[in-house]
Amino acid sequence: MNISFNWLQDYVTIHESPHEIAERLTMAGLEVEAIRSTEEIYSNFVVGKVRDVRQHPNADRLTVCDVNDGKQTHTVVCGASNVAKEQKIVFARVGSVVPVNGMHVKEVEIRGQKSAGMICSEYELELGDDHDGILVLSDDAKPGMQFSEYYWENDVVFEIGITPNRPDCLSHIGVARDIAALYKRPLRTPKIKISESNKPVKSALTIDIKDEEHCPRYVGRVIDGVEIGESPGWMQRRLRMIGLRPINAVVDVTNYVMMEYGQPLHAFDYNLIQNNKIVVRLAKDGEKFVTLDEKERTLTKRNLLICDAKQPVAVAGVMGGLNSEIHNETTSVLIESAYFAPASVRHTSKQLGLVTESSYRFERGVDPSRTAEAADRAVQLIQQLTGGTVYRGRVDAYPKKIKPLNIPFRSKQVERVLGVSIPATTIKSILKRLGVEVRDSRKKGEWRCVVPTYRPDIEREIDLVEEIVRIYGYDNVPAQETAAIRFTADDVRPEIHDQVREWFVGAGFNEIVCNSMVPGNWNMYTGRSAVTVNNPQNQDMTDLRTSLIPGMLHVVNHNINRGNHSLRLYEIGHIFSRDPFPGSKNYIQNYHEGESIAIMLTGTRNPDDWSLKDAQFDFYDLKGEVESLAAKFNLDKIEYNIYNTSSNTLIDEAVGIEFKGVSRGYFGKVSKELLKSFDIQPDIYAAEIDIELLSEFYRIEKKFEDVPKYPPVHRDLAFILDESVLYRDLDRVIREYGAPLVSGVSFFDIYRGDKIGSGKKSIAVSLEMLSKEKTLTQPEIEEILTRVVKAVEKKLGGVLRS
Amino acid sequence: MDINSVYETIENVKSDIQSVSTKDDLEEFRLKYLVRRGIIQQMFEGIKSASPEERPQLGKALNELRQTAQTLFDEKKRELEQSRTLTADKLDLTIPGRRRPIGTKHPVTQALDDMTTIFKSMGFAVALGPEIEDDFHNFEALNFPADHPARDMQDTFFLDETALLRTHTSPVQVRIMMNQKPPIRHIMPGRVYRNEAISARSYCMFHQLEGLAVDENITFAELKGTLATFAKKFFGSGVKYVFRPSFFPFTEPSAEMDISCFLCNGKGCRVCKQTGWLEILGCGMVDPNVLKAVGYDPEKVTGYAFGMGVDRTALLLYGIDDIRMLYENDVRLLNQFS
Repeated sequence: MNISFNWLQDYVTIHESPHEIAERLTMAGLEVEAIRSTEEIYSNFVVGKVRDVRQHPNADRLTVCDVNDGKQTHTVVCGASNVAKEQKIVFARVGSVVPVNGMHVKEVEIRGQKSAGMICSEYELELGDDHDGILVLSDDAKPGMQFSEYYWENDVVFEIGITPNRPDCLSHIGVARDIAALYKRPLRTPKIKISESNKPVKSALTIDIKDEEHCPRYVGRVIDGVEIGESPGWMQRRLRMIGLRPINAVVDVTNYVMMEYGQPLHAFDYNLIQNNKIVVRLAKDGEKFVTLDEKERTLTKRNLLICDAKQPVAVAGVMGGLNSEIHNETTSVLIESAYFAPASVRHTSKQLGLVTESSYRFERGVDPSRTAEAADRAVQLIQQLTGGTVYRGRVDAYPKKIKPLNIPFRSKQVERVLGVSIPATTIKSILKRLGVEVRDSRKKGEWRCVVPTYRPDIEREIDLVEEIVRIYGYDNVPAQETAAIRFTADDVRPEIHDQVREWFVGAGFNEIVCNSMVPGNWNMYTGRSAVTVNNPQNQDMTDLRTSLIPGMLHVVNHNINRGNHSLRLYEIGHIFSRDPFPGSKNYIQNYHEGESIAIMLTGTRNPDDWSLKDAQFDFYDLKGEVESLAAKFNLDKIEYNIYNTSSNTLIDEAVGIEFKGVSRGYFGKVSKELLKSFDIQPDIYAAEIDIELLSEFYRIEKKFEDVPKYPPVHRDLAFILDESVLYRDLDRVIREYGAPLVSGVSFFDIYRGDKIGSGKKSIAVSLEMLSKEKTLTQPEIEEILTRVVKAVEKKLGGVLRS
Repeated sequence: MDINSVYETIENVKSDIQSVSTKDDLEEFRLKYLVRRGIIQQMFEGIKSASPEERPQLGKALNELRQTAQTLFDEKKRELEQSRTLTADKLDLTIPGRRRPIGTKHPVTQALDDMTTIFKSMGFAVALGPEIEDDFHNFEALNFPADHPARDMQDTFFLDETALLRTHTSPVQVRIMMNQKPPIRHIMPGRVYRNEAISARSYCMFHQLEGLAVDENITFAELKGTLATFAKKFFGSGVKYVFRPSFFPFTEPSAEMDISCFLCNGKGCRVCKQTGWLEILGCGMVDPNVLKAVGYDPEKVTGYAFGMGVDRTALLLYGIDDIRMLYENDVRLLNQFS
C-alpha cells in the first residue's frame, strides 16, 4: 500500500520527519518497506523558461532551444514539435535521472549540436502516457524552482507492507489513525457537507438485496447533471503519488475516497441502470457477464452480482460491467458503497483470476460502519468537482446491522502471555487510543472491550493482548534469558542423518541438494508411479522425484560440462510415489513418502593420490562404499542379490540390497540409455538405499566378545573354477567345511588367461584360522586345508592351483 | 709456541669448518684437529715448553680452542645428518603426499547443523515430518481459514484438492502436538516449497528451521530471550536485534526478528538494502486456536513458535549472492565448504 506523507497530514498532525514516522510505523507492525521522496526522484528537475527556439542546422525535425533554469541558460536540442519561445517547461539538468526509464541525462552532441540537458514530456516525468510533446507548465511557474516542489509539494511516499489482518490500514485515514494512536494525537476525518436538492433519492433508486449473507449492506446515492471532465491537479497529483492513473473526475473521486477511507466505491452511469433499480443476487451457474476490462466472464452460483431490473451491472466487490460504465457523455451517476462478505469476494476473485484494489479490500474486510460516510464523501467531492445536483438522502439497505464485538478481557492475561506486567491504566489508555471502548464487567478482574468494526482482526482476548503489546512496544518487553525446562522421558528415535553425513564426509564425498520437483521423463526409469504437481511452475517441475539418481545425474552433467570430471557425490532426501515402496510412509492418503541415500562415483578414483595413476572408479569401488556403509551401520544381515531391472531401469547389471527378502536398495552402473538422456559420456556408478534400513540397526545392543588370546594363522589358496561358479559360492563352501577353525576368508585376486584355459577363472583367497584354546600346529593347519580343498573340488569342481 | 698462535688456530678452525660440506670433509676436519695426533693435542703437549708464567693463560686459550673445534664439529655433524635425510634414498620430501579426498556437507546442511547444535544446547529436541502434507496440517490446524487472504502469503504447489507440498515446516508442529502432551520443546528442520518465480533471490524450494515450545508459563519474554541468545551464539555476541510486530495466522502476537547486518555492522550496505538490518525469522506466541485444534487447553498452557529460512541465512553468511547456485551443486563451490 502506497501512502503519501503529505496526504496523511490532512488527518493527523505530524511534526516528525518521514523517516521517524516510517520507523515508528514499522515498529508498530506497519512495515515501511521503502520510502520514496519526490526530491530524490526529481532531483535536478527544475522549472525552466524557453528563451529561444531555432531550427537545428542538420536535422529537420529537431530544434535547438535556449533554456533558462533560473541560474543560467543552457542550449538544448529538442525533438518535440510543440516547443515554443517563452514557454515554462520542466528542464532536466545534466546529471539528472529520468524517472520513467532511469536514463542519465548527460551533455551530448546531437548531429553536431551540443545539448546540455533535456526538456521533459509528461511521459518522461511519469505523469502520463503522452510523449509526443513536451509538458508545458502554466505561466505562473517560476524558473529555477525544483519540479518536486512545484508539482509534488515535496511529497514522500511510503510503501507499506500491510499484513492480511490489517484491512483498516489500506487507506490514508487508517494509517493516520495508527499514527494518532502511537503519538497520542487527535484524528481529523473530513467534514462532509453536501448541498442536496429537494428530490428524495428514494424516488430515483430502489435497492433489493436478495442475499443478505453475502451482501450485508448496500448504500446508493445519485447525482444528476454531472459534467465528465478531468479531475483537478491536486487530486491527480495525489492519485499519481500513490501510483494510480487519473481517468476522469468521477472515477478519480471513487478511487480517491477508496484511498482515503479504504472503502471501495463503484460509479455507475445512472441512466444505464434499468428501472432505477439495484438487485443484489447470486449468479446462475454458467451466467455470462462482460466486465469493464472487456472480458467475458462465466459465473457460478457462488458469485455475487449487482444487477439492475434486467441484467447484471457489476461483479460484486470485484469489477463493474462494461454495460454501465461511466463515459464522457454520462450526466447522472449512481455511487455504490457496500459491504460484501469477505469470503464471498475472495472466492469470486480467485475463481475469476481477477484481483482489483476493490476485491483486495473487500476480501480483507472493510468497515461496515463507514459505508454511508464514504458514499457521502464521494458525492460531496463529485459535486465539488463537476457540479451537479445531489438527490436528497441515501438509500441504505442494511437489513441486519453489524454490531461491534464485545469481548471479555482479563488484564492479567497480558502478563501471562507476554511475561511483563503492564499497569492497568496503560492498558486502558492504549485500548482507548485504538478506538476500543473499555467497560467494566460484573466479573472480577474482567473488562468488556467493545471493538470498532474497522478492526475485524480483533475478535478475542488474545487479539487485544497483541494490540496492547504492539502499541506498548515489543522493545519494552524484556528478553528473558532464562527458561525453566521440564524434562520428558519420551523415547527419542535416534537421529541417523547426522551420522550418515559424518560418515560420507569422512569418506570424501560432496553432499548435494537437488530439487524434489523434476520433469516427468526423469521418473520413467524407476518403475514407480510418480506424484504429479497440479500447478507446476514449469515443464521441468511437473513430478515429484521417485529416485534421487536422475537429479544426481543432472548434477553430474552440470559438473562434467564445467570440467569437474572426478566426482564422489551423496544426497539424502525424500522420494515420493503414489504406491507404497519399501521404507515408505503413508502420512497423507494416496501418497507415499520415503527417504533415500544416494551415492555416485565417476571419473578418477582419487586425483589427489598419484600412486593410483588416474585409476578410474569401477563397480568394486561402488560396492566397497556400500559394504563399508553397511558395516558402519551394523547391517550384517543384508544380502546382495541380482536386482530385477525389469521395472527399474536406472541401473544395468544392478545388485539389489535385500533385507528379510525385501529389496531396500540397489547399486551398479547407471544404464547407458539413462546416461544418454543426460548427455553423459563416462561411466557412472550409483547406489540408492532406503535410510530407514540404516536407522533400524543403528543402535543395536552391542555385547563384548573376548578378543582371541592366540594369534591367527593365514594361508593362501588359489582355485581354478568354472566361470559359472561365483565367488560367493566359494566363500560359502570354505567357511562351511573349514568350520570351526576357519575364522575368515578374504578375496585377493582373480585371474583369467591362457594358463588355465578358456571358460575358467582362478580365484585366490586368504584363509584365517584361529583356535580359542591354543596355537594351531602345522598338522592341524594342513588338515583343515586338505578338508577345504576337497570340499571345493567336490562341491564346486574347483582345482587347487599349484 | 706463543698464545697468538693459539688464537690464530681458533680462526683457522672457524674458517675450515665453513668449507666443510660433506661427510668426508668433516672427517678430514676431525682428523686435522680433534684426534690424538691432531693439531690441538699437539699444541697441548707444547705447554710443557712454555714458561710457568705463560702456562695458565696458554692453558685457558687452548681449552677455548678445543671447545670451539668440538662445538663446531658437533654442529656441522648434526647439520650434515639432517641434510642427508632430506636427500638420502632418492626420497624427495617435497612431493605431495597421497591425500584422501575431503568430503563436504552442503552449505545449507552446514548452516542447519550450526543452528541445530545451538538449539540442542538450549534443550530442544529434533523432530521431522513429511514434505507432502494436507490442507489440515499445513493450513487449517494452523488457523488459516479457508477463503482467507492469509493463504496468499504462501504460494502453494497442490497435488490434488487437499494434498500439497508443505509451504512451511509448521505442519510438523501440528503433528508433534497431536502425538504428545506438553511440555514440548522441539526444533523441526526441513525442506519446504513455494510456487514463487525463481530468481537470484528466491527458489521454489528451500529449507526452514521451525521451533516450538509449549508448556505452562511460557511467555513472549522467554521467546525474545531464547531467540536473542540464539542470535548471539549464531551471529556473534555483538549482534543487535529487534522484534517487530507482524502477522502469522498461527501466532498471536506475532513478530519478525531483525538482526544488525553482520556484513556492514549496521552501517547500511547492498545486502541489507542500506537499512543496517536483516530480517532473519518470524515468531510469536502460539495462537489459542492452534492449541485448541490439537486438543490442548489454552487456559493451561501457552507456547511460542518460530521459523527461519536456512538458505537465505546461509547465503548471507557465506556471501553467495544467487540462491540458484546452492542447487547447481558445482563441486568447486561445494569444496569450499569443507
